[in-house]
Amino acid sequence: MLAEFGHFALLLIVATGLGQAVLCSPFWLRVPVHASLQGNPVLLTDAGTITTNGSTGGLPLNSRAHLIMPFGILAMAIIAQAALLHSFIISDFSLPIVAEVSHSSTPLLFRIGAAFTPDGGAMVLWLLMLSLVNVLLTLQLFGPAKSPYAQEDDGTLFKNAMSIMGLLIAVLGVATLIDADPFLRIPVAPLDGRGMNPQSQDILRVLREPFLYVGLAGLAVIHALTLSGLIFKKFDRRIAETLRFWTIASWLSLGAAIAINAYRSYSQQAWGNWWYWDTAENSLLLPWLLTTALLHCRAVLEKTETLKGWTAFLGLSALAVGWFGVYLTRSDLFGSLSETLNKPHDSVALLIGFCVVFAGSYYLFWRRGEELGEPRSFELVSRESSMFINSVMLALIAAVVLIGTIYPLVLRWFDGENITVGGPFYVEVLVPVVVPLLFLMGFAPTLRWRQDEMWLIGRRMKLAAILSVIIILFVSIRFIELSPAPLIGIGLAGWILTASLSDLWARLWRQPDHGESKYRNLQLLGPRYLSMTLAHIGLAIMLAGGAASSIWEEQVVVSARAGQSIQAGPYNLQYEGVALLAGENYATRQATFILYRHALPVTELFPEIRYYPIRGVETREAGIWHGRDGDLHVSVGDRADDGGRIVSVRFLPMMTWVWAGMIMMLIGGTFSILTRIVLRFQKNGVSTS
Amino acid sequence: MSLSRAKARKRQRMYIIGAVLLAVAGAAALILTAFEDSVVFFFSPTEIIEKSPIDPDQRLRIGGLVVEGSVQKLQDGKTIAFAVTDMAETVPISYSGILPDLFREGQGVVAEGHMNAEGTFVASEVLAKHDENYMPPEVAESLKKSGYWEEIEAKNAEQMRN
Repeated sequence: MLAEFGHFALLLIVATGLGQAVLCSPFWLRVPVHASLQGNPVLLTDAGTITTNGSTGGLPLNSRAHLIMPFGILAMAIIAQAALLHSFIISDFSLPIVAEVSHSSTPLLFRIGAAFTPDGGAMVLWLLMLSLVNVLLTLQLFGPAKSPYAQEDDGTLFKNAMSIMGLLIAVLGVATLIDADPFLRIPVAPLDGRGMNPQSQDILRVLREPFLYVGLAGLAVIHALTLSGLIFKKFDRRIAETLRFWTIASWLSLGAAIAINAYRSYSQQAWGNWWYWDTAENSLLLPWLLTTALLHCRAVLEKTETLKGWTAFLGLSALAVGWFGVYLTRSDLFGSLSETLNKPHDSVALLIGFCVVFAGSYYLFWRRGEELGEPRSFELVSRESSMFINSVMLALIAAVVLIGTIYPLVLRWFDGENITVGGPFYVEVLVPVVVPLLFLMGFAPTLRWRQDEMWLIGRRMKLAAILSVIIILFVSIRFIELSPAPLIGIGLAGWILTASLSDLWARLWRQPDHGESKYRNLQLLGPRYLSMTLAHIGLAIMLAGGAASSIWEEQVVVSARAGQSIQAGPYNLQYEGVALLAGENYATRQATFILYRHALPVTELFPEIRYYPIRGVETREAGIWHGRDGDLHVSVGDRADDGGRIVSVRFLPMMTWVWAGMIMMLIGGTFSILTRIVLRFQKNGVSTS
Repeated sequence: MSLSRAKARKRQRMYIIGAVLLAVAGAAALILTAFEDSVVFFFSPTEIIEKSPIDPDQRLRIGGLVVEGSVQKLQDGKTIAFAVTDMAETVPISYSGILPDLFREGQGVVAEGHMNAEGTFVASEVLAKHDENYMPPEVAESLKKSGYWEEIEAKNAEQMRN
């Protein structure tokens, strides 16, 4: 019964979304009658449009009715999500979606997690997150603690953004109902479900979904704000300021989704690699890359009001690739299998919605992009141009990843030929793009706005350049047989690290003394600078770790007997045997290893082979130890013919750095957002840096 | 003053457009060359037999059903030999390492590696990351090509019912 409530709530979301789109629409302004009815004098502005003096715009009645809509949508979305979760929790198999991915023996946590994995469930989650950010946007623009720019605004521009949000919610709601209606019921329920895909039964996989969809919802806000900036030809500091929270929030949550996904691939698959370049990963990476580019261009826009057109383009494209990525991961459009293998549907409505929304958006961009106007210009050697160049590089990387993802699908569609575009392709294409990007990233934060001089840059970067050359020389002399690509990676990581640190040092110690402590200097740098530095250093550390672990990885595959010890790097693993244990809905063969480092016991590792009887599928969980000199990754396989068990041990030096770097980048973003929120409520939106 | 500013802006726009065009052209060139030498083609066993002998330096993927009863471990304890088939032709594969989670006799599998001179496919990787449908899409397609898709599909459906 509750599922029907959910279904109805889903319908209401569409209706309310449309309501919000209409009520907040700026086209009411075109009708002067309403304005005079309202009793306000009508002003003819110099732009030739008519606005009311009541400074509200919008509806004839000077109401704030439109401000209720987002809360209504949120309530509906919560009801829909709750109804779906309830159906999963009570295992209501008369809903095909539940029968498809859940089973009565699935543990509660994963029954909840399973609710997000099928297309329909993911769409409900996306709608919930969209309506959540919709409410946050309303509070930001019209709430009590609204930003100073929103206070200046006469309401039309921001209200228009809300109208677009309503439209997006309605479009995605319709797509949910048409493509993969999660609340469909069948008259005769099966006795039990097919069970959750064992490869998805993992806490990290469940955690990834909310992060992914918060990120995509944030991109929708960016899209809405950008679009209404284009409509009103006011793409300026005000919009940039409003976008700040959303770009960082989206960047952060997409980054978190990527990190979680990487760690999960690493720990769950027996051949654990943290990056495969497969469609699901690329569809996470694409919006993240464009959001990173946007993050930087937005800062330029806020500071100098330049790069308007490019920033607007990025703002529109980030959601475009995010949406398209969602479509790619769940569609069989390019394959020819949908009719036999998968569900009969193909996310057609999602694709049509995508085409309509973005055809409109880019048409508007094409018409209005020229008219935005750039009040100021900058020189080739300046902070603006370095940020611009790097954002173009990021967009290029995104384009390459997009082409690499789509090309095999298109080829299969046209030719019926099957090809794989994997790691080697991306490395070959991306290295020449990434090298200058990272080189520029090292000194871009030290550049001055508008104009800078080459020789000044040289003087500033002297120390960092010398240090990174020393690092490269040291590594290449010590390990002569090294191939160039990872060496360049390590060198660039050293370059970014030393450049960031020397800039931080210069700002802290060489700054004119304020007669106060260095702690005061640190405070004066402001949260933006600190979080930026943290994120850049995090990237450098991750890069160094990735390069080093790929070079010095050691792998041993042996057939081991109980008591046998296996050497990998500085570690020694002693195999203790396998025990047959029962999990909640699986049986597991759990191997025990005692890990020694230089003959001292460190820890015990328990890699497993799990067997899920419901689907008759085995999964392999690796045992991982994050040591100070790298990760030890052990997984077990079948029994060998000689009576031993096949054990694969990998020692990945400096792999820990990859995870530490990712976490540092995420901390950088979190720090930036937290200080932002604190400042907003302390000083009502006055930012100090 | 305003004239020189307009000029400066025009010059700046030229820079920007030039830079973007240069970047796009460079990327296009890179992508095209990379497509030529680092794309891995997928072949079904029939295609492998048709095209043989295949250059041992060429990386490729092969996919098909694992022949029932063909999986055996070699003397060294870690090399595994099996054969894949699309029901028309069969190709032997050797692989050392741990087989992926979803590897089963009679089920679909995709392996990446190269053909050696003896006509054995030496796999460096047996792919683990296909979906839960027991059938990598490429394998399903090659089965359709060889005309045995319906039979296998019916068998799978039966297994699922049991």
